[in-house]
Amino acid sequence: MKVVVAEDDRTSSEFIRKGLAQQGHSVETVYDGRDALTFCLYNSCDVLVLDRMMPGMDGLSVAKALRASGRTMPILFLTSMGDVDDRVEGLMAGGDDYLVKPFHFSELLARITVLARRPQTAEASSRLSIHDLELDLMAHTATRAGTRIDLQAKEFAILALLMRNAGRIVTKTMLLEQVWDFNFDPQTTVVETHMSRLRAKIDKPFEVPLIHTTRNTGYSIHAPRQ
Amino acid sequence: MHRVSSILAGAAFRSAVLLLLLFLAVFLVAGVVIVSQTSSEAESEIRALVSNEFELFREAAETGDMNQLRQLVDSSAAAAGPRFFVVALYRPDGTLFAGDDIPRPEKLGWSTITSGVNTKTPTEKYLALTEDIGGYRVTFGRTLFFVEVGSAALWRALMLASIVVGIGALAIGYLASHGVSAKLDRMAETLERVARGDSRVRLPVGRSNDQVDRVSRQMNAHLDRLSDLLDTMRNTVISIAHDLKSPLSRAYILLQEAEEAPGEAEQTQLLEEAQAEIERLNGIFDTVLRISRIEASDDQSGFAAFSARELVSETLQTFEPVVEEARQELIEAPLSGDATIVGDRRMVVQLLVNLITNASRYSPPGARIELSAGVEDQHPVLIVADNGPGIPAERRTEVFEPFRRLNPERDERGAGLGLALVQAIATRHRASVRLEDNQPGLRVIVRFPVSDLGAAA
Repeated sequence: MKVVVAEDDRTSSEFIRKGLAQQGHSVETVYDGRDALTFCLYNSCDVLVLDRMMPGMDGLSVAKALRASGRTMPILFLTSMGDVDDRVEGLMAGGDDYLVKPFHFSELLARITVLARRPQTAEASSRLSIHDLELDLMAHTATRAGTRIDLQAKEFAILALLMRNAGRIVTKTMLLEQVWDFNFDPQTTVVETHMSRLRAKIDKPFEVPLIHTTRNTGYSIHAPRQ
Repeated sequence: MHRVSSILAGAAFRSAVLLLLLFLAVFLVAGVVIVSQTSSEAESEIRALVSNEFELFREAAETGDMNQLRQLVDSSAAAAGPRFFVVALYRPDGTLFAGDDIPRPEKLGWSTITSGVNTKTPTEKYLALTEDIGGYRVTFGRTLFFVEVGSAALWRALMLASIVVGIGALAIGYLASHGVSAKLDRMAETLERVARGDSRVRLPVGRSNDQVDRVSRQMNAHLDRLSDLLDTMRNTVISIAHDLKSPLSRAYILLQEAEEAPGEAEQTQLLEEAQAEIERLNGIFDTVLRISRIEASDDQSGFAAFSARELVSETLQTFEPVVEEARQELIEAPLSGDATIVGDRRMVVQLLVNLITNASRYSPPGARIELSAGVEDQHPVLIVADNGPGIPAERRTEVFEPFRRLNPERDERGAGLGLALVQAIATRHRASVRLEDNQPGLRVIVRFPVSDLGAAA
């Protein structure tokens, strides 16, 4: 995967570049808004990581210009401003996701991975399945190995989010944002508690666990690997 | 000197001068009208008198004997002492036949003539009628002296009146301006002291309740708010410094320990702990920023109507298992009626979550937390009540201050920002937060304003 990182702070930029390179991605770094725009206009990339405050041209303007010229690559905004209004502004300008500094590298990686795959999942499918677990998004039902499982609304939403991103890590923050619409950290074990309830219904009665925890990062769902 | 010039520059004095000028202009026009009216009336009086005298001359000439006319003119002119008329009779060839030796008027009818001043005719200007009677020209005129004296006297009276009014107006303007100027000077002095950093001084407010006093009162209210803010800010800065220093120094120690840790597992453990401390620090920063942003803005454009009861049952679904894990109970206690809140739903959710978290954190295991939405005097309300230790009545206001914890030594987890954020969100929604005794425990009532939008929805 090819990632363009537009970030004027050299330390952060190098930190992201190293981390992504270790994961086997090819990374291009630019340190100026205008360079970011020029590079993305003439080169293709899978994800653009765009700092909102940059010399030359701010991130919002870069995103708007790219969208105006028909570029559809996913854009992840980095910002030190975590306010609702800023978030909305970023998404309106053509951003696909939003990450507030400081962040865990694993959080950035998880989001980039999800973003890079987004176009394939865009085709609306009403059924999701992993191994012997099936989810009917229209009927709001879950079955595993033929057994119907009763899920609460939030549990269903968590499971749907995990299954849409099967094989990829979904972080705690992503769950809070997308399942609960929380733009703040509730300082409690909301995610952990609901996740353990979900696991008790989905995994516990069966032999093979499907939901996996990545320590300090998040959760993923995938079929057992041979 | 500066004092006088500042008084003269005062609004009261300026408007007095302006009014005075306007008054004088009107007075001048009125004076001209009055004087010309009076003198024209006096003149027509004189004309009537002159016409009457002329009747006598015509009657005398009726017989055709010009000597009779001559005798009449002579006897008139011969009257003893100074007189207030001139009379002359000229022969057809233009030479003087009888009466005063004045230049023969060329025109017939009314004219103003000037005679030489002598003992007989002490004044200069006369209003005269000239007519030809039987070929002889007769001129008879009466003095305009009294008209001129009358006009002059009128003018003098008017001038005197304007001067008195003018001085009066300037004096009143000066005094009024002096009063205002003194108040304004005190105001400037006070504000200068505030600018120099003394936030406790206030403007003097007089008893007259004039505009300046009203402005002073308003400015005092602003100064009150300002010094409150300054005090809060000072406390907040000190608290932030204190509260940020502790996790910072803990992280610092953990990092040093990690550097010297013998095993890799130990090192990882210490590094993770240090990271957690830094995250805590970041969390405090985020919350402080969030509070200040919510407080700074008064933007309600993103507000929408939503059901309070739906919000409560959704939040209950999310937090019931979390509270259960702390071996406490979270239940919904329905109030009468469903209410519609107009606001930023996410913010109100955070408010509710903070209240639940607080209730759970400060209550012992086995406690019961009740969540409810309803209507109180037509106002939408959200209520979070617990049967925990509660807050003593006298300390209920201070818990809203940032970084305030009732038992800082016992309570390591919270940064003391939860209720400050609740207060900020409530204020943004023009809602009030009330803390009450739940007997036992704490009962928090958030009361939203009655909204037209809410009623329509």
